[in-house]
Amino acid sequence: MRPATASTSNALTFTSLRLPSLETLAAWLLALIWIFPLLYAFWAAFHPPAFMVTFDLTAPLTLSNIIDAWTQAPFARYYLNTFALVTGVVLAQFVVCTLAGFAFARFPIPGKNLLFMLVLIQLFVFPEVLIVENYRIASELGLIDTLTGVGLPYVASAFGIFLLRQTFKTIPRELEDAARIEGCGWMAILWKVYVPLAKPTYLAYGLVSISHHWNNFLWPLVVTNSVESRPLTVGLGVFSAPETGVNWATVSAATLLSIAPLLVAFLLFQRQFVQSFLRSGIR
Amino acid sequence: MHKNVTFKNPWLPYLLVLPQMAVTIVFFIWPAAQALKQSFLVEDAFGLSSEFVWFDNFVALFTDPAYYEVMINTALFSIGVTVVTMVVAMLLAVMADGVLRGKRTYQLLLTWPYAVAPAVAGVLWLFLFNPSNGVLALALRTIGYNWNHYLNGEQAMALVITAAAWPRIAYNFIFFLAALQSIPRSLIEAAAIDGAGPARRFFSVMFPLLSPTTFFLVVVNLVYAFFETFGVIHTVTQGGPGTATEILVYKVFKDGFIGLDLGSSAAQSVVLMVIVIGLTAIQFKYIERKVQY
Repeated sequence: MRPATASTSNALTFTSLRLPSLETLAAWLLALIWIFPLLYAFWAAFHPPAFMVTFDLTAPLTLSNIIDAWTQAPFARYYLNTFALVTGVVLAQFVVCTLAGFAFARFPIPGKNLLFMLVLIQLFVFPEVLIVENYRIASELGLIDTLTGVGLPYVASAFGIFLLRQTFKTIPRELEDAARIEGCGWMAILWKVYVPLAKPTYLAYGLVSISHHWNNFLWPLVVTNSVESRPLTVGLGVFSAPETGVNWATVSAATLLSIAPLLVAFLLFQRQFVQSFLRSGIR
Repeated sequence: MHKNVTFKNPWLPYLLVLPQMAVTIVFFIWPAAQALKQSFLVEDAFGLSSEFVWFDNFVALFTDPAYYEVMINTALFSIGVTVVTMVVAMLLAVMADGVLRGKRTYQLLLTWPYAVAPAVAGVLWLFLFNPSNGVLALALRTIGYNWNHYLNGEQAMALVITAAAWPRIAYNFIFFLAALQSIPRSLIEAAAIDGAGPARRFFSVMFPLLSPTTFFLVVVNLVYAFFETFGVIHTVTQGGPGTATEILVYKVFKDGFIGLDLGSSAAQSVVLMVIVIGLTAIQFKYIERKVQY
């Protein structure tokens, strides 16, 4: 599969047989309709509440909604929580999945297939499916309302192990042998041969994992119950709940605050994001 | 041929999988076993003792009209999300494939919503369709259609489907566009020379060639609709009005954390697990031998 961003130089495409200008116009119109909820959130966040439903291009711009949102909810803390959570989960996943992926790719473990099946079965079984039981375990371990509790269940990512195992399997044994002749132990072999050669996989998996955990909602909602551990999505959910009576302009501002970092990341790394989704195409 | 035994320490592979196995056992195998056990037990009113009741929880579940309704909701919702997502994504991809100027910007615009969390997408759509001051709700009212998803179950379902599909379309778009761009232009040209119009070219030439991508996306979208849309439901309707938009995952959450009916909630988790494992198995069959046509 070619990456989505590759350009097609061929003159004849499916649509170019019709009037190109009209076609392009329709395509852009559709794209604008499609992106409308986001555009509207921008509109509502940067205009006074009076202009929520009247689209007047001369309407005064304001930052007061953003300031209101920032001061009414502890967004700084939520940012910190989400940032710490995502960093911690992704790093831990890298370590755990690298070790397990390496073992599954290169070692003759008796019962390896059974163990690997066990890994694969949980490919889609997120903590959400067993939420009540997982909650009980987290509370027995004293992990309720901690960032560790939010992140730990995702650390043994079946998806990550699967991807890394596939990648490690494609790496020629000769490289490993050469390293061994040079006197490298398993750790040096893993660190100097396998990990560097799997860089694209780490990038792809890392981006997918970051966007997944930045946006995760149900498990963090259940496990956290204080400002100190709540990530952004849950904080926004609490802030925008209808019963709080916060006005919509402020809620839009808060919404933008919580999605802004990922939106910017997408702008900057669009090509990498698209390629990672394609490369990690099993999820 | 390489010999497999290349490291001296026989315990090394076990050490390597140890951290992963520990987490898997604590957060998957143990809770799955607990759910299975709990689903065969009934606790007394005080939670002091429990009795083994065989399949009573499951029988109660499957004969409960409320669960039946939730099953139908889930089917409607997940099929709705999958169909809406894929049809719109395919349309956008075909258009993006055609747009020659500003292609990069166009693609960026279309992939952007993927950065938005389902829960946040719910909030965004709620702005637009909030009956008292949502722009689109008010617009609908001026053309004589009364929108109030707090009272009308069908409207509520339509809204959660839309809100759940919206960020997901971006993901599907990426795959469809990549697949479209890998179709040899000569095939389409040949069809055009034979007199096939745009619609005919799409359905007879391009669509069949997209079938592996389509199949993959159907499974992934179903999994998404089943398990990752809780945030949308929670922020937009909280399962309401009544239970009109309550889906399986939402009911597990509600019964387990609000209703505290542990036996039933455990039985529901087991049902969900069976569904997940079924979908995973299908997925792997697909990975083993790609769809043929």
